[in-house]
Amino acid sequence: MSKLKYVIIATLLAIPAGWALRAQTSKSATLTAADYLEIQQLVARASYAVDMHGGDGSAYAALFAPDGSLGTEAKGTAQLTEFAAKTNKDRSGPAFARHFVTNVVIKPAPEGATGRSYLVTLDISESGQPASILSGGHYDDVYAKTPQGWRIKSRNYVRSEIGPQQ
Amino acid sequence: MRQRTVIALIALATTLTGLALVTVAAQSSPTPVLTAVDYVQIRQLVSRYAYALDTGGNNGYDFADLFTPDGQFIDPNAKGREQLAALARSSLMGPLNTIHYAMGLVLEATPDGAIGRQYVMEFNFDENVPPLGKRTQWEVVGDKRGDLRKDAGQYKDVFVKTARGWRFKSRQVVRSKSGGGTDPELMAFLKRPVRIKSEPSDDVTAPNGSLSVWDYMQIEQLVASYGHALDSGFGKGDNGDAYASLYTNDGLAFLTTKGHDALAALAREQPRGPKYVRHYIMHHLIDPSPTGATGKAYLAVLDIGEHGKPNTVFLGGHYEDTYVRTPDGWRIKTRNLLPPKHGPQPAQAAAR
Repeated sequence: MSKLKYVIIATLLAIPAGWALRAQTSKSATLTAADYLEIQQLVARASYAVDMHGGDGSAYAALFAPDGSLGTEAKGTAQLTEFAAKTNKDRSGPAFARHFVTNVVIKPAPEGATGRSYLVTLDISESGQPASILSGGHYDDVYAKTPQGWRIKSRNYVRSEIGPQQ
Repeated sequence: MRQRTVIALIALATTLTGLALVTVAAQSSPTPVLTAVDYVQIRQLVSRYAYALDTGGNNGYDFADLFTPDGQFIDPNAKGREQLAALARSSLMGPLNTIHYAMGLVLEATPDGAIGRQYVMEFNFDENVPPLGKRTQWEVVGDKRGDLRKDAGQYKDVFVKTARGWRFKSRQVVRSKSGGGTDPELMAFLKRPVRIKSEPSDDVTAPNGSLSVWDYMQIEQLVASYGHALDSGFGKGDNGDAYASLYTNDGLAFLTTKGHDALAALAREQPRGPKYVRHYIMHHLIDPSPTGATGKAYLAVLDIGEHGKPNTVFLGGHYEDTYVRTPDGWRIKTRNLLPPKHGPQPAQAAAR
């Protein structure tokens, strides 16, 4: 009887110890190959979500963690949904393409991962004129692994600026 | 001692039950899933597409052979190997030609294979770029040496896995157009979690002569870092060490610049700044080699206007690289930039 009690206590103690060990392992900040692939997919999905919202920002907001933030413009699912739906309200749709993203660099971090990527936005003519470059810059992101997979914890857009020349 | 044995047994039993549950769940799950290897292979296929289309290589058959025998291209329409090859021969071509720049590939498994979408833009690059002369690299920023074409938008893809690897079943051009409200199918796709099946072997480096998923990820990250290192030193402003550190200690850039100090000096001659972006790189093709890996990637240098100046297309072309494993990870051993050129070209270039 007393032996069983010890076993139960030992087992109960072992569970949090195991969790602590697991947490520590993930804190050593490494990413698996699948983590890189999933985060790349997350970053790519953001362009489609923002360009094709058609007045519904929910797909864009779903790419963020529930407390995720976009610059100082929006924080949390409700604000992100509203922000995405308002952006380019009259210029969006299932076939609309404006946000072109590449150079996606991902690094492990204690909170999950961080990322930097290049953005160039294009104005693509719908009347046969050549397309033109609207703007460009980079995203600074933090990603968190949630039960639903990797999500954007924070995203900041930094517009390109040359110099200073040294 | 006996207590420990009992604890160990309980732990073992719990683990086995857990594993059994996971296995049952995986087997009974009707949701199709792509492996990490599938992702890598489909991405390499999609990168290969641009080279095959823009060069018209092998008389257009390099392009046609990226599709299944009954594969089709939609808008303009072409179906089957002969029509697809003719499509790749129909526009500007040549081994150094670069026109189609695509990025942002999203993928999802289907019962028959996979579906995907990708953004694409098209360039016409000037082929006669004037020499630098007495001007510095800073002074030529904003020179206009090309244009975007009118066509840009998305590809909608269907992929299938054949005995010879992943192939396009279809690729459809959807030109960018606003309006049309929401697309419930796309909304649902964007909201679904990304599911990737991974094996422990995906996370370890492979021996020379082959590449694991891990190696592909690390080489991709190295090349994705190139613009960040060169344009901003990853946000620090000074780009010298960041740029040189992408290479091996004896790394060679553009056939002439060799070694850490020379590479750092080359980077410091380039316009830069903590917030500067300029080098957009995509279509990273990676192949194993006896000493590591070889690679190719498209480059577009875009000058985002400063102080009200117009935005310009500054430079295009593609890089040809070799990579090696070092104790610090994958590094560039050699990198060369081949400027864009279309039309008949010398046999030497054609052999690339």
